[in-house]
Amino acid sequence: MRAQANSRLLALFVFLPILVGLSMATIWVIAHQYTNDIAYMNWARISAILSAPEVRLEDLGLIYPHIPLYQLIPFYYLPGLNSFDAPFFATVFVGSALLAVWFRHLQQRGYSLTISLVLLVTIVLHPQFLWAITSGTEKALSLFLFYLLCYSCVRMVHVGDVRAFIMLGCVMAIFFFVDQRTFYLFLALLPMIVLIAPQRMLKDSILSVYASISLPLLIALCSWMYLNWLFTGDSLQFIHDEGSGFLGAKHKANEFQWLQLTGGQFFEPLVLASIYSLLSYPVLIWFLYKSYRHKLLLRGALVILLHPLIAIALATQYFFLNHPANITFLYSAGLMAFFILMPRLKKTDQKVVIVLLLLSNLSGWATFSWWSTDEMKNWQTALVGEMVEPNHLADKKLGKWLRDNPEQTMIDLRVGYRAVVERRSMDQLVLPFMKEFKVAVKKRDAQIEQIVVINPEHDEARRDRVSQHFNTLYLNGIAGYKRVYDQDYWRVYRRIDAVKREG
Amino acid sequence: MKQFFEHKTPLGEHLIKLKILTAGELEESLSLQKKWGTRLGDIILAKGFCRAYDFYSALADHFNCPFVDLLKNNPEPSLFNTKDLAEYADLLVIPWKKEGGTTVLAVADPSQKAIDFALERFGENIDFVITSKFDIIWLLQNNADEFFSKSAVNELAERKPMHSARQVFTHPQLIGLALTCYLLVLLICLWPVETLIVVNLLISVFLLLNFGLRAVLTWVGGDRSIDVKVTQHMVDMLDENTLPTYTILVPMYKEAEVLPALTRALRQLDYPLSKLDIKLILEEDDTETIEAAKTLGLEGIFEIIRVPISQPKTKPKACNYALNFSRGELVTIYDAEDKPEPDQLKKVVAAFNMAPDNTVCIQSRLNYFNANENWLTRMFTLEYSLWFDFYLPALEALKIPIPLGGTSNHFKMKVLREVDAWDPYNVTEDADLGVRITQLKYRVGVVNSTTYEEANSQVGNWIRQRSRWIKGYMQTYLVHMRNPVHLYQSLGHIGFWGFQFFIGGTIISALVAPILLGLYVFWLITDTTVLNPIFPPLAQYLSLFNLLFGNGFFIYISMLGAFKRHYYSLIPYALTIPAYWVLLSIAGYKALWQLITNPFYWEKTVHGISSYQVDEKQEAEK
Repeated sequence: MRAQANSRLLALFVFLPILVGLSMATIWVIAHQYTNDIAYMNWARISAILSAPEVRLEDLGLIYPHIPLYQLIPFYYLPGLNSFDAPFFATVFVGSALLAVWFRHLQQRGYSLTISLVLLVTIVLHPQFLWAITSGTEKALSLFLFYLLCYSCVRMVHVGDVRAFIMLGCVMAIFFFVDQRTFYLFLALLPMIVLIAPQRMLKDSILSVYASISLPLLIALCSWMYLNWLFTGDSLQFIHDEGSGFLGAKHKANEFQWLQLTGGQFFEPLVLASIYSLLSYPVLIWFLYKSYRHKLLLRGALVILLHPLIAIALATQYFFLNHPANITFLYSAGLMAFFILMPRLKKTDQKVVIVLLLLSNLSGWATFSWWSTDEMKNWQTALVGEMVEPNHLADKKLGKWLRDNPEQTMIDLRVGYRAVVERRSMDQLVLPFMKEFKVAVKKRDAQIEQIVVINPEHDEARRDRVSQHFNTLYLNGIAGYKRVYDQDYWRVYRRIDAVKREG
Repeated sequence: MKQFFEHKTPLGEHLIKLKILTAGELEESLSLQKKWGTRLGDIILAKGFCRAYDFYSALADHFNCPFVDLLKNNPEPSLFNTKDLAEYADLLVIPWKKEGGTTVLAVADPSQKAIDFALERFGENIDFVITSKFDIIWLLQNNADEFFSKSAVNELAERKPMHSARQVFTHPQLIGLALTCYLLVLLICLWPVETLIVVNLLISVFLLLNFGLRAVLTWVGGDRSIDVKVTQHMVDMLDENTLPTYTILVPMYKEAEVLPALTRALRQLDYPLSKLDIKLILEEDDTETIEAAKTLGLEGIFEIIRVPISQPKTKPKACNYALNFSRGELVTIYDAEDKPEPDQLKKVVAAFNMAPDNTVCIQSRLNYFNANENWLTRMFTLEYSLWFDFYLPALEALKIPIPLGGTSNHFKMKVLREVDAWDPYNVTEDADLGVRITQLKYRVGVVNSTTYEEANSQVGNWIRQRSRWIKGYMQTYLVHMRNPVHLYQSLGHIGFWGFQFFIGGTIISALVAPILLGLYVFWLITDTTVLNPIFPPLAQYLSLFNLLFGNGFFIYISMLGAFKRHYYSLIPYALTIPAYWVLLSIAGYKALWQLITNPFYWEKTVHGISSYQVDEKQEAEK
């Protein structure tokens, strides 16, 4: 008991410096104008909901997982942290917690304090890990859950008790509320189960093994469908909606090189992703080599190694994935799980693995620089201390204007979130889930001070609920309102009596 | 010893000489004696090598003492001392008659302890005759039935009224209940919507916490290190010589037809037979079962205990009564239709050996042998698998009071007597005893050995049984919540809250579920907005969480119960368990009604109706 308490305390002591270190890295990238659309969108959504007179979670929409949003709730209420940078710190917190948990597991495995700390640093320095933790998205939570998933697989290999099945099933169910990639990860895991589940159980009833792992996810899915039906009237709205996060890059496949190259295929992305992963994490090969003599360990190692690759292939086949790195970053968690799967490495092996981890970091940086999305490039630019070139200038310009004209404003977050972020305040916004918005739409007589509308010819215009309800507003305006802003693809109309009042 | 019970030849040879025993039987008995470490006579009787009457006659001849048939030559009642009844039953000795100045005692077990007792009570001027132990027990029951019966009914209620369910509601509880109802009505009249919102929230939060506790229990219970406590190796390492005497109580009522299968199952226990003290506890008016037991010609390890008719007519009262005649260091209860795993007693001894000294009870797992009989038995099996394979080991690990299952709970006899055994007024006396034991700083453990029972296969019968269980839980909750502060102090915060949600949660969820389900169905069908005011966002989210994830989780863990038990064919049936919850609620309301109208009534469950039992019976009769 005392040893357990000591290892918990030690993990807490490790957590704090990691938190400080990763926070500084995050501040550094933000200071160099790194932005992340998902992070900002999440913050805009959650703060819009929480600032509304009546907090209703369904107003967040049900077309993307909610847990990454809920993790922001404490930040909204914490003085000093209530800012659009909050998602970045939330993910740093999750990342630090993951590392502290792993550190504790290493201690339980018998690794010395020094080796544990060195391993921890080498893991943190990998670009895909650092990117996942400091980019303010759901990736940090996904990493945490993927680590738990691998940990469950390890337990299945070592102990094979019911708890291992519960862990696998429940982690998968929670994953569904965290990450849109869950289905692909789940499907990829299914064939792997036969490698790690106790052989006797598989022989007795393979269907039962699968049922016990799948049911929690099935319940999560059915619950989500029910909620979709309850609040939108369409139980499959989370798939039908064009802007759904569960569809990934499907509607923008032509924008991504990876999908243009491999979209709709299975084996080609599998091969390419394998090469990309091994270049990013060459140390994986060493772990495979170390486990090949032991049948059970080898099975565990194969699962950790193959699982993300098959998930990448599946997600590409269905045009979900825009870049393999959006799944390969999970190898960082897989790598951490390898240390728990294997018996404690001998001292010579420890040195080898540290060298290989450093090598992985170098090759990881090389592959990250060699092939990345715009967002990855921006993050890397900011990390090396260069200013990121601002993008989405039209939105930001609008946001600045709205900040200078903070009247009551009707806008749809779906298309206008970047402007809202730039505005830096949720005060006086009239958003689609709000009563004022619904009244204005119903009466077709907006009593709102300002209305923001996007050019109907813009790509995103179809999703703008302001345009949907006032479909001639952008072009013809509306009685009683005067255009006060007209730049790029945005226009703002203001009520005439409000203009007069100002005048 | 020599002075009273002298003999020239060893008993075995004497029995052969009298042709009561064969040489082969003697050889077997002697070899078992080396292994088991008990006396030869006990082994011969336990193995049924000769009739008890013949054996005791020969024993008398062996010691050169007269043999008396106490049923024909009744002892003098004036010699009976009710204060010594426990010793009579324990040492198998009773004062028989006065002959001149000499007190003659009838003894079935001529031991030094019996002589010491006689010397202490009656002085030097004593003599002995030999009799059968069955005669002594029969006579004790005849002569002291009123005393034993009263003590079985009143011991706990008189010595510790706070722990007895004889009074269903205490005055403070009634006042509290009345005040709560009054306040609720007043609040509903003054602020109807706000009050209903608060009630709604309280129920939702309670169900959420109930769900949370069960999630924790499932998590803890899923750990193999908690699950497999006693290994086969530990059982093999036990020295049979040192095993304690084990009393097995088998209360029965009108179950003559299951007797052959029962005795067969008990004989198959892997435990030295001569260390078993099996009591078939039968009600005096159940002549059919008594006669059936007599005609079976059972071996010496079986004793029939006739419980005199008195109120309340409950199983705990019968067990308390039989406890007066029990001689084991350990004691357990099996129901008539039970089939314990053969090594269960040994596993329990091993579990006691490795447990802390204050562990006074070990609960074995229960499950069903007729799981696949019909939908109801499948549901029942899923429920039991979850309860005994997940919850109870977890409760033990978390030090939450364990509501003992109906049978297969094994006690240290000394402590069981010290705590005044079972409450005869509580219809789930085992659950109550588990909580009472924990309050006294003793511990209850769980062992990985299973007793297979007959799952109820008929809905009416099932509801009768379940309503009794829920009523018993209500009684247990009311008894232990008479002084919540004391309960909190004696159980600690984990134990206290565990009790609230595990015992209280079972009752509340059975009662509340149909109301919530009714409201939901009403809303679903009518699409009404009437209920909207009492479901503000927070209440709505809590209700949705309970509806979707709470119920989903319960379906999942029911499935896991079957998975852990390797009852794979039951897994798909877990999806239908919500229908079973409806039955639970019906039983819950019946229990509530009976708690008010007929609190001590023991709803008898009919056993032996399973089609599986028929095969079993035929096999046993062969």
